Amino acid sequence: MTALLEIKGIAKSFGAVRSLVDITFSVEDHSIVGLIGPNGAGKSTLINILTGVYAPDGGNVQFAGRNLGRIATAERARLGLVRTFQRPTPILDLSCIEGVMVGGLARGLSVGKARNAALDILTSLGLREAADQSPRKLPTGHLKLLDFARVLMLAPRLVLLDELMAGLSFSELEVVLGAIERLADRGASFLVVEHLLDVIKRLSRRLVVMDAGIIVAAGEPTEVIRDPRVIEAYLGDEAGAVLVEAEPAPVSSPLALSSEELISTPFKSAGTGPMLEVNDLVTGYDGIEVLHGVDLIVKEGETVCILGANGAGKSTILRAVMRQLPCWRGRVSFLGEDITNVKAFAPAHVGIGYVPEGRGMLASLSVRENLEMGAHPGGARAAFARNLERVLSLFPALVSRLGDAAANLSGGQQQMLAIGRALMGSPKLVLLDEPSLGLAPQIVSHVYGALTELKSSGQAILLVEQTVGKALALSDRAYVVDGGKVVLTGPSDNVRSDKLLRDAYLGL
Amino acid sequence: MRRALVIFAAWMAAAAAGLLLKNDYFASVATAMAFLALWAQSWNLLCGLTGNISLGHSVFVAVAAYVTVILFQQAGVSPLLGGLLGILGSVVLASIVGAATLRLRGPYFTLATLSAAAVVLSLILHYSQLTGGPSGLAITFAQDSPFDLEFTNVRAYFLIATGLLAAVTLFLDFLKRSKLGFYIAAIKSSEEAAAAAGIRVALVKVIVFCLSAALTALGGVVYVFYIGFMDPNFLSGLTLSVEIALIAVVGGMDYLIGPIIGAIFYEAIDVAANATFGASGGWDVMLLGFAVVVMVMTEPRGLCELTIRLLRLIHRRPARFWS
Repeated sequence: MTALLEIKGIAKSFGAVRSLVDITFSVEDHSIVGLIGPNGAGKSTLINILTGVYAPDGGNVQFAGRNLGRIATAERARLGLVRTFQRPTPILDLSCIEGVMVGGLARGLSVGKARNAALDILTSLGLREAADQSPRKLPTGHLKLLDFARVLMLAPRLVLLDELMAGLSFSELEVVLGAIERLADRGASFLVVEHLLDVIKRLSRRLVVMDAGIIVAAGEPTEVIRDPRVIEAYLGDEAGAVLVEAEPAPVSSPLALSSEELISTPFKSAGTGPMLEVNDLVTGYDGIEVLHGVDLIVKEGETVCILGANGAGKSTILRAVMRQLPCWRGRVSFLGEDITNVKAFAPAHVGIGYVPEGRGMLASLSVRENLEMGAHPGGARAAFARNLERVLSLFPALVSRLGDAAANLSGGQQQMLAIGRALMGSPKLVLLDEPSLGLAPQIVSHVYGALTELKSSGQAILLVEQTVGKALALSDRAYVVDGGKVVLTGPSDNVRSDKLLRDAYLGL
Repeated sequence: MRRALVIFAAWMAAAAAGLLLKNDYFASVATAMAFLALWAQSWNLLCGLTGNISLGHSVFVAVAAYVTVILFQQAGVSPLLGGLLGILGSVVLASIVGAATLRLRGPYFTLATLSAAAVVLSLILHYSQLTGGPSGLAITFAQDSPFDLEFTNVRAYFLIATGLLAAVTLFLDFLKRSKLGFYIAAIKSSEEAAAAAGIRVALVKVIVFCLSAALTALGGVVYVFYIGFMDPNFLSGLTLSVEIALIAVVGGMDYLIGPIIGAIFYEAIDVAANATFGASGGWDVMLLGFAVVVMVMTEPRGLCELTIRLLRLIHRRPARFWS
């Protein structure tokens, strides 16, 4: 009896970059296997090979006793080998339920039967109300649930989950975990690529760790994550926190950066006057109101975080401040200047840096060119050399990659580049939208280490985050947003210790 | 069902209006408008729904028209049968071009459609004994012969063209709700995700291209008997292909009624320009180009979207019936 999925000696290079060197492991029938590894380890490349998006340079894959060879993606899906994507892939021109139905149609269901089945699945995932809506209006977490629903419609034998659970709220996570466990009970198998170790420990009894295109460890999860090689490659200084499941570890910087360097920079500002003021902000998408009157202040030199569930309107606040959305009502001012109705490029010029969710890489440009693009606003070009030096000392990992295309960076390096690019504009205030999304624990620590350095240099920061513990540890004050309104605000320490609040909104 | 009734009622209204038009010039403008709308609607089936842009769609008009007329004139085959063969010829051409290029990403498909039209044009010009070469073929008749698609009154062609337009519109409306329609929407959103959901992406795209070619060819068969003359440079030329595409884009590719609105807009500007400045001198083309630029700058999603935006200003409520 062979395993359901057997991966033997898979290798894959892109140009001179060896993404996968030699990958061999198997997934038994009726099992859930976890796959972890730092950003850039080759996990997504492996999934693309398993689903036939890329052809491997060497090795072969057997599924249910059948050599997959050059069988196309669609045929693999029909055999029961299905996947989700890191970035959600809603079908924009269809309603949510129709987008889910597509999976059932492809395996031969009629439109009517597919609709019924899709409605059942959406109901079980708590998305029944969204069934007839357009996915354009849904937050990322719901879109991920939709992707998962489409996969369920395919009646899969093996599901490859590519960071499905990153960015889900606590309650959404419970829903997905429940659905996975139900499906597993009915005989489906899973390969779960995820950075959330708690999730993997709960679901799987076997964990495979990848680094730099090879398997560094495999076995029982709690043993594997004690393996020193795994700690070094993946967990970094998070290891302790993860293993003992303590309160979120205090953020420590892995980077050596002298404070003199930071103080001599243009980012330094002093005083406690209000910098960004948002009053009674109302806005939304396509005529649907999302924010119902948000008030928010960031003072000079302050670090403020915005917390809340998916769809609460956190990212929308940042997008409205950056004038990517029109304000329907209310006022946004920066350093006393009204910026409610300025042109979309203006916030960058008055000194607001923005790191969007999804990083917004200029993928075909080099790392250096991306940084140069960030130096566009006002006087930032004069300070180019100094800013560049600063960014590179914050993120030494970028130094050796300056000439490479941004598209070839790992997810962690892209996030660093995105932050660096915002800093190149000498911003007085930096807006960060979920900087930890989809990053390995070690990389999250790196990023937060850099943010801590920035903060101690006097840089004002407004942060939207799902990684609640880290965000609260970093910030001075926190806003909790729910249903498009600020439901609570206060010093971060108070917010963290408020039990009621944690249960209600943060699911810590 | 409600939509089917609306479409049928619109056709009856258009037919009545066409029959009441006493002026032959306006009757011919209305007929040209109906054919352009029919082609733009067929073009939009492929290009609006899947996002693959064809800039050689007139080639299907040409292939169908030449096959039909040559069979009719040289072998006496009825245009009803010859037309079917002509449509089949267009579908074969579409399946070859589609199978070769629709699996590629990038501009290859668009380039291939451009070159297919150019190749067919040179073939027509080369085999002049059969096709009449650059001077084309004339279709002359003195009396009505419905089964040969010969009508002395141009309003008959208007009726047929608008009828076909109504039928194609109805078909597209049905298609959007069918399995194939859902597959097309999935492919347009993300080919990777569509394939991951078990959809045979390349096959679906080729099928849609063939359907679009067949419907375009259907219009071509009737059109050539209406116009009574085969001009190879028009039938397989770039101008018609670009017109078809522009009409759909200006009207609104996301809306079933978009290509029809586009054709009305297009002919209206054409008539206005010719009436103001005279038919020579190319004012109509210049004005059309200008109108397209203004259109795309104000609302790249077309006249339909623009109308809905204006309505929303008044009502603050989105109108979604025709989407």
